[in-house]
Formats: sequence, C-alpha cells, structure tokens
Amino acid sequence: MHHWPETNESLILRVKDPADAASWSDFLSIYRPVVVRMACGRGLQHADADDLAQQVFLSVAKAIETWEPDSRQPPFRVWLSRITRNAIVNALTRGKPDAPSGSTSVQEMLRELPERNDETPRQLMEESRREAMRWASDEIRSEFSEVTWAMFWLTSIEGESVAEVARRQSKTPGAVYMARFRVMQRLKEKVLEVSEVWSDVK
Amino acid sequence: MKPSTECLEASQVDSLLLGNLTPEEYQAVQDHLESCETCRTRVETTIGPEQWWSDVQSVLRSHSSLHAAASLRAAGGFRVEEVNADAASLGETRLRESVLDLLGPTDDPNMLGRIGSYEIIGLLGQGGMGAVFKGFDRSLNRFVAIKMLLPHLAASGAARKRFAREGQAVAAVVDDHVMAIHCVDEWRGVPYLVMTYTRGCSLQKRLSGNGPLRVREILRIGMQAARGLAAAHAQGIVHRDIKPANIFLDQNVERVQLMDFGLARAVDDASLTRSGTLAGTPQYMSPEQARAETVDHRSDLFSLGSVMYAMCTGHAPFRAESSYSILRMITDKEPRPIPEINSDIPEWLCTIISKLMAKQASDRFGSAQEVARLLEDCLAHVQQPTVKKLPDSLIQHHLLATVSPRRAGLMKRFKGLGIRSWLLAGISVAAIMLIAMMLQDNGPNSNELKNDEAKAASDCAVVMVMHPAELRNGNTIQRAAAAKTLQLLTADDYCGILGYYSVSAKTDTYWLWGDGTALQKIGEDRDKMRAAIAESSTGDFPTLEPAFNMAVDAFQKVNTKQKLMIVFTDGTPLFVDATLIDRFRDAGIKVSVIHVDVLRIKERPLLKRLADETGGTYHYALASQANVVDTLFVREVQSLRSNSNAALQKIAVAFHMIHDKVGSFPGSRMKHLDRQENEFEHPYSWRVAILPYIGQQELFDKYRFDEPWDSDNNLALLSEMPEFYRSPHAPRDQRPGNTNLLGFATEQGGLGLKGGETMSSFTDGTSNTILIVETAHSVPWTKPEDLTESKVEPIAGHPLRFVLADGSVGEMNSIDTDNLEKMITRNGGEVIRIEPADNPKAVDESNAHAIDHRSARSVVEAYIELALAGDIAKAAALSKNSPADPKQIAEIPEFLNVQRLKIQTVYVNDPAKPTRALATSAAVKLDEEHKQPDGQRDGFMVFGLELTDDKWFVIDIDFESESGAEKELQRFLEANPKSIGLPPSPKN
Repeated sequence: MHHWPETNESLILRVKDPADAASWSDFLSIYRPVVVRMACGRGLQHADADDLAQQVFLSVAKAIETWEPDSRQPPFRVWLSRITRNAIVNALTRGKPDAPSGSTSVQEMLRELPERNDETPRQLMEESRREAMRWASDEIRSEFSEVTWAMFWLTSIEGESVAEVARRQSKTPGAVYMARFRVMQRLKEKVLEVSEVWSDVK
Repeated sequence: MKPSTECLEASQVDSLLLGNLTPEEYQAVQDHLESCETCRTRVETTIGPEQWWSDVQSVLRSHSSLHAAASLRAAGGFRVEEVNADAASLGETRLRESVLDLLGPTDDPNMLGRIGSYEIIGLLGQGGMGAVFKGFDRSLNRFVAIKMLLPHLAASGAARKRFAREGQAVAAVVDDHVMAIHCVDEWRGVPYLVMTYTRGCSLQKRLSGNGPLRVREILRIGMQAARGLAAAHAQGIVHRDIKPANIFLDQNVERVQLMDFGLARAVDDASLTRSGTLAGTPQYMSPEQARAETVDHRSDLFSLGSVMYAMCTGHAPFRAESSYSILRMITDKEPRPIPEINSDIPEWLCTIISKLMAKQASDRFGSAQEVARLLEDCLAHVQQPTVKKLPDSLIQHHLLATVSPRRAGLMKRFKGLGIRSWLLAGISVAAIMLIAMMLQDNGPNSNELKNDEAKAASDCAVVMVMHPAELRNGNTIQRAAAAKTLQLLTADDYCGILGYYSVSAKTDTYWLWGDGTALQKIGEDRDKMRAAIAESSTGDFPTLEPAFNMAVDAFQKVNTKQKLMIVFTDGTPLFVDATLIDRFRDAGIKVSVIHVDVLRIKERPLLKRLADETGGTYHYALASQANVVDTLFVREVQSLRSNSNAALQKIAVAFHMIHDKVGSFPGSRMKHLDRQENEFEHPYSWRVAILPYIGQQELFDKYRFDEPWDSDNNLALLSEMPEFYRSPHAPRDQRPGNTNLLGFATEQGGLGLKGGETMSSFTDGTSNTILIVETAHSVPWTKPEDLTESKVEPIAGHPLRFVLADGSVGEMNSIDTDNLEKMITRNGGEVIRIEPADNPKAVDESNAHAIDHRSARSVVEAYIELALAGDIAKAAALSKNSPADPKQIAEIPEFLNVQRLKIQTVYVNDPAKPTRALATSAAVKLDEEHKQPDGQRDGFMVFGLELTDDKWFVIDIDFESESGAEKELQRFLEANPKSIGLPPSPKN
C-alpha cells in the first residue's frame, strides 16, 4: 500500500480543470512505477525507492501550486510532465539523500549512485514509454471481452500461433486476427493519449 | 458469406481501426484477413511499425497480472493492510457482517467492537478462511492484527481445533521471518490468532504492481522465505500454503515474513474434503499436494520454487482456466523455461528453481536451511561479483539434476525387492554430494567436528553488554538475566558485565565487576558478582562502540576456547565502524544480540549483521516478555555447551537419510549385500552404516563387509573412529576406538532385532522414542553391539544424553527409570512428555519439584476460570485466605466485567525449591460500580500463590494499576533472584 502525498485530493480540487485533475492521477500512476523501477535499477531497495518516489511527487505537488494558466505556457499536461521528469532526473542523479536515513546500508546504497550522467533523461523517457504501455494495457483491459483479450494476449504477447489459439478458443483464425488488431490499435491510441510522458511534444 | 478475394481498400483499413465497420463489413473484412497475408501486414503496419509490435510484446510479457487476472481469480489469502477491493460483492458483504456480528460490545465509541481483551479498530481484510482485524492491545499499548477463523468454518470442530493447534505450533517458532503469533485464543467459540501489526504488502501485491523482480530482490526474498521455512521445519511444522500472497514484505525494512501457517490445513478439514473444491489457488501447490498425498517439508520447497519462478516471470509457473487443469499441470508438466520469459535471469538461478520444483520430493534440496544458505551465497555473489564467487555447490546441483531420474528408478526397484542394496548401488556420486551438503548444513561448527568441540565446561568466557535503559521494568530484567547466566557458568569460566554510569559525575562505560581491565574468572566470587549486578544502575550508552572495544580487549587477554558476547539492547546501535565486526570475527568472539522493543525497525539490520557475521544469533523480543529475555540469555550460554548435541543430531539426520533411501532405519546387526544381492554372513554395526552420511565415505570404503568386524583389516579401523563417536565426557582411560553411543537392540527398542526398523513401527511416535544414548558403557565402535536391556548408566557426573528418533536431542539429569523405559520402547503405547533439550526449561524439569512449579500457572488459570464460571466451591478449593471466601469469589465475575481473563505472566520464586509465585493477568477494565477509590478502572489483576503440601493455592488477589502491577512484579523478582517465568500453557 503506497502512500501518496496527502495533498493529493486537495491538489486535484485546486487544479480546477477536470481534465487537468485526471492528468495528475494518470501521471502518478505512470511515473510512480517508473521512479521505483529506475531507483531499484540503481541499487536502491524497494522501500527506499518508494521513499524517493514520494519525495519526487511531493516536490511536484508543491510545484503545481505555482502553476498559472497562461496561453504562452505549454498546457498543464505537458508542463506537469516536464517538471515531473526533471524532478525524477534530479532525484535519481543526486549523490546524497535529503535527510540522513539512519541506516548505513541506505547511505551506502545511495553513495553507489552513479555520477550525474546524460543517460538518465533518455532512460527515463524509455522507461516512461514502457510504463505507459503497461498503464494503457491496464486501462483498456475492461473494454474488451475475456475471449477477445485472450486471443490478443496469447498471440501478440505470448507468441502462440494464431491457428492454435483459434482452435482452443473455438474461433476462426480471422476472428483472432481481428482481436489482435482491435486491441493493439486501442492500446496504441491509449498510449498516445499520454504521449507527453514519453516524448518531448511541443 | 464467402471470403472476398478483393484486397482491402485503404478506407476499409481505416474504418476497421476506427471501429466504423458495420457488422456485415466486419465479417467480410475478418474473412478476408484470414486468408490474405498481404492485407494483414498492411493493417499491422498501419497500427504501428514492427518495432511497436515487438516493444509491446516485450513490455507486456512481463506485465502478466492482466492475463492472470483474466483467467484466474486472485488467491483468497488475507494480508495486513490490504483491504480486498472486490469484497463488495453481496456474498462477501454478508460474510463480513457475520464476522462483525462476532465482536463483543465495547465502551469505546471509536472502536468497532471487542475480541477477547482486544479493542477492534477495523477490518483489514478477509479471505476464504478468515478475517483479519486491526486491534489494539491495551495491556501492551500496541496495535495487533487479529485473525479469526470464519464462523462457518468454525462450526467444523476439526477446522477449529486445527486452527488453534497450528496457531500454537507457529507461536513456538520464534524467527525473524515468520510472522509472530502472540497469542491463540477463542472468542465465543471461534478461535483467533493475535499477530504483530505491521505495515507492508504481500509479495502477490508487489508482483501484480511491479511485475518481475530483479535478481537481487528475488534472491533476498527467496533467502528470507527459506529461512522462515527452516525455522518452522525445525519445529516440525510444514507450511503447506506457500504462495506470494502469504509472503509479507515489511514496508519499513527489507524484511520478509511468512504468514498463514497451517491455515491451509485447517481449511482442508472443513471445505476441501466436504465440497471437493479448493480454497484459494492451487497454483503454488506441490505435486504431492496436488495428488493429495502426504506431504513433508519438501513440499514447501516446491512451493518456494514456484514463488521464485513467479518473482522471475511475474506469474505463477502453472496457469490454466480451471483449478483441475492447474493440478494436472503441476503433476505432469514442466513450466515454461524462465529464460524464455525473462532473459535477465541467470542460468544458475533457473537451475536452483528447477531443482526446488523437482516433481520428486527426493530430487529437491534436503532442507530449507540449505536453500537459505545457498541463496545467501548467491546474493553475496550478485552484490559483489568480483569478490564472492558463485557457490560451488551450484555445479553439483547441475549434476544431481541429471543423475536423479536414474537414481529414483533404482531406488524404486530396490524398495520393491525389499532389500538393502543401497550400500552398493543406491549412493550415486550425486547423492553423496547432496549428503555432504546436508552435513555442511548442520551448524556453523560442523567442519570442526573434532574432539575439541567437546569443550570442558570451564573453557568459556562470556561478556554481557547491558544497554537497555528504557525498559519499563527498570533494571529488573537485566539483573535477572545476568544472575541466571551466572548460574550456568562454572567457577573456571570467565565472565564480565559492561554497563554505563549515567547517574553520578562518572559517566562512562565500565565493568560492573572486577579490576576494570580484564575478564575475571568466576571462582569463588559468584556472590560478589551477583551483588554487583543487583547494585548496578546501568544507564543508556550514548554509543556501543567503547563497550564493544573494551570487550574485545578483555577477551583477548584470556585464553578460552569459546568466547561469547551477549549484547542486550533496546536502543539504537550507534556504532558504524565495520572494522569492529572484523575485530570480533578475527578474535573468534561470537556475538549474540538480544534486541528488545526496537522503535525504529530499520535499526535492526546492523545488529543482526554483527550477530550473523560473528556466528552469533540475533534475537528480537519485547521488553514486556521479561521471561523471554532471560530465557534467551540462558539459551545463548547453553549453546556454548551444545556442540556435542550437534554431533548426536547428525546421527539422527543420518538415520533419517537412510530411511528416506531404503525405507527403514539402520539396525544393530546389519547384513551387507554383494553385487549379486546375496547377503554377506558377517553383521556390521549401524555406526558403520551411517558413515557415508556423516562425511566419512572414505572410512566406509575401507571397511570390509565380507569379513567380520574383528578381522585384522577391520580391527585396524578402530583407531580411525570418527571423533564424535567418543563422548566428550568419556573417562580418560576409556579405550581408544571405543564409543559411548549405543542404541537399544531389543524387541521393542529403536534399533530392533532385525536389520532395522521402519518409521511406521515407531507407534509411540518418533519424538517419544530414543534412538541412541550416550552411556558409560562403551564398545569398539565397529562392533555390531548395542544395549540389550533398558538399564542405562550415564557417564558419571553428566546427564544422560540421548537422541530421539525425530532427531531432537534430550538429556536427563537424574534418571527417571519409568519414563526412560517408556522412551526406549518404540511401540509400548505409553504417553510420555519430554521437553526437548534446547528448551532451557528442560533443565529444571529434572528436579523433584518440576511438576509443582509449573502447575502454578494452571492453578491460577483454573481458579479464575472457575470463579468466572461461578463454580464457587471448586474455586475455593484452589485458594486460601480471602481468595477462598465464597462471597468474594461470587463477586469476581461482576467485578472483572469480562467473561474470560487471560493470565499473562507467572513467575515462580525458585524452580528448584518453589514456595511462592506471582501471576498477572491481561488488562481488565472494571465496571463503574467496582472502580477503585481513586477512580481507576484500567489495570491488571495480580495474584499471589503459595505452595503448601505440594499444591499451589491462590492466596491473594489484587487489582493494580499498570504501574502498580509493574512495581509488584519488580519487588517479587528482586526478592527472588532465582525466579523464572513460566511459559504460557498450551491450550486447545
């Protein structure tokens, strides 16, 4: 059970535009696993990675207060995505934690963090794109029937043959192809909805 | 409609992807696509380039929770802090209400209700077997998780009993990696368990949220889970339901805990057999469970393997639409190779997992302990690949995996013929390696299995570092612990106690006793030392480092073979210098830590590391469990002396390994088979037979089975007797080559009269039957001779040590002929109660008043139960003075305002000469009418007991506030330095 900034709800209230509020929660659900994964990838233990994620989003939450709608500025989603990414890169490449954690092992771990390098932003983009795919697949899962989903999953993801899957599901191969295309198209649309998180649009 | 041969127009492709096709068009497009690859490729590339498709595949392949959720409902386990979101369905709501109906009324408007003496704050979760509440324990001022069997299951007597019994069994497992059960009780006929309340989530949740884990995490979680299993298995408990949902990951520390022990078993009784359906998921079951065969600890190893598979791949190894298909897959199919799903997993890890998941239990690892150690070594390798090599044994496991099927086939054949051919053919190279690995496993001292493990009792030095400043009972606990430790040491031992002055102007670390620079021999100064402890007022060390350095310096000035430092602390270990650990290790000092009431749980790993790396033990206890603390001290000191028990234990392990192989234990006079499976005429001893299993293959190979034991060749082996066959206490003039370890070669004895007995002939139970004893009588070790009558003499001046057929080691100080006789027979049909040797209380057991001091608890418990039930006459018979007054007894139920009162601690003044005892109850709340003059309503009952004519009587009852009860206890402990706390009585 993860602890989100307590301000989460009031924050959403503050961000008046419902579309913006939705962006915030979408971003949380995508970026949070990204931070945790990347932090773990840098040798942090899971609990510490969670802490780090919390720090990142607290700082982002604070930053949101300063955001003013302005036609010259990028839209909220793009802006939010940008500052979130910056916060993540900062957190991940920072040599020392903000506060002493009391346990030497954590400090040792943090000391092992690599020096700031230019790889991090690229990795972040890549990891965010992957996370967006996972997120999108969760999001669209309920839009399809069990059978359709299974036909898509077994062929496109698990790599089973169309003929075999069709036989097992008692469907025609054509139906299996259609299922694959429909789900994959929808998946792509969903991923593009949050393209800000993994590409530098505008 | 016939498939159109016309290829799709661009607009059709767009419509397809936009979802704008009419049903007719849709069908036509579908039919066309089925036969036209060109169009399929066009649609595909319109959706996304090849890269997109392969990216999605690689990303989502490890994100399998979706698919798993599609075909299989998540497991029904419950876990702390995870409220089941699906629980909203009608059926479950109803169930939940029935659980809530069970709660008793509470005075506190913020609470949901009450279970026993616990206030219930909320429902944490609910599974197929029970509900978990968050509760508050007023007496200890802490939150607890209370797990209650579902009422409809509680209606099944068997399920209920098992729930309670298994709970009690697990309560006996004290291990960092087993979620502690504080108490097992019943509330309105429904049993419940009280556990530590911890924030965190289950591994299941982590897997669903994050997909596959990294190798390091897999090893860490796998290792800790294996440790938890090892601790449970050591107590004879098989978990039977290891799965990610039952592996709890602490939110604050990187600690893994097993939970839901034995509940699966409780559920079998009620639901599995009755309805024929499975509770929960069978995905992690072992093949033997899937076939509903009897299971042993190796079943858990299979499940552990499946869990590790899931950590590697993000999903369970076997998945199918129905439980039945999963069961079939578990028994018949190999899971998809891990590298096909996650190429990041190294081959050696896959090898470990597939060995764990061997279909034949005998092809898996020997013990969870072994797995834990192996994974630990692997983890060290992953963390420091350049420094730590991958364990060599992994290569051997490879070998085993390839040899085992053949071996299994051979064994089956020999078993079928009912002959003992294992000596010739059964032991393949691989099996011997396995044995060697198991033997390595038997404790840190196994490679020193030489005579020097038989330390003379005088050969040890013990330093106690006393740190707890904020214990609620002041210094009482540490004083009692130190005094008890002192009792166990001999005059030739060295002992020192380090404390910290914080009262006077002198604020420094200092030795409580002695000249302040070195350890002192106890000699005649035992009383002086005890006084020094009693007068001490140790304070809070600002840092442990000076004390640790002083201890090392002092240790280095004495020349003893065993060095033990016991650190008793409730605080933050502020030392950070890792070289200090090296100092301890280099000086051969074992450091054991007794850590109480750690507030910030992150502080534990450091002290644990100190203990782990110096060969000591890390214990975690609650300060309120004062009797646990001194028990731990005693256990630590006793461990200095128990190395020779490890030798005895090895014999039992060897007996069991042989039983596993050939279906029976070795006997007193065994017959060897030649290659044509003809028996040689000369019998040989079990002591020869077990050689390959105690790391003595070479010696075994030298023995000539075609000659009698006293042939020239075989006699020459007498001088090569494995050293632990000779008792460390053997008289100096005992002939070399003679052993003190003998079995009972009698009709009903453990060795029997034939070639060896089967486990099933131990109808008294293996834990009740002696396999081997250490006797004053000695025989040449190769001679096929054992005891032929039940008369046994222990080695003069030492207790009679024995190893039971279940592998536990015990001892008797004074021989209770009657009991001993019963223990010698394996099928006498008697009931015997034996305390295992590693229970320090067993030492007390031997004295004449053993039963008496222990029954203090049952008397006070019976008294209060009878009083609450209104059985005045019976209660009066258990009491004297005012507690015996019928009028007062009659008032008790009203006064106490509870239906049942739990007796928490019971202290007896002196187990050797018990006369008085003090008992305290769980917290009670008096009703308005009976409140104390000062308005006090919260507090504890304090009972005084007295032993008269070998019977305990309740002579005093008081209601005390919390601090009053503490003071009372403190006074009692100080007045009676030899007092001991009695363990909770097992209740059903």
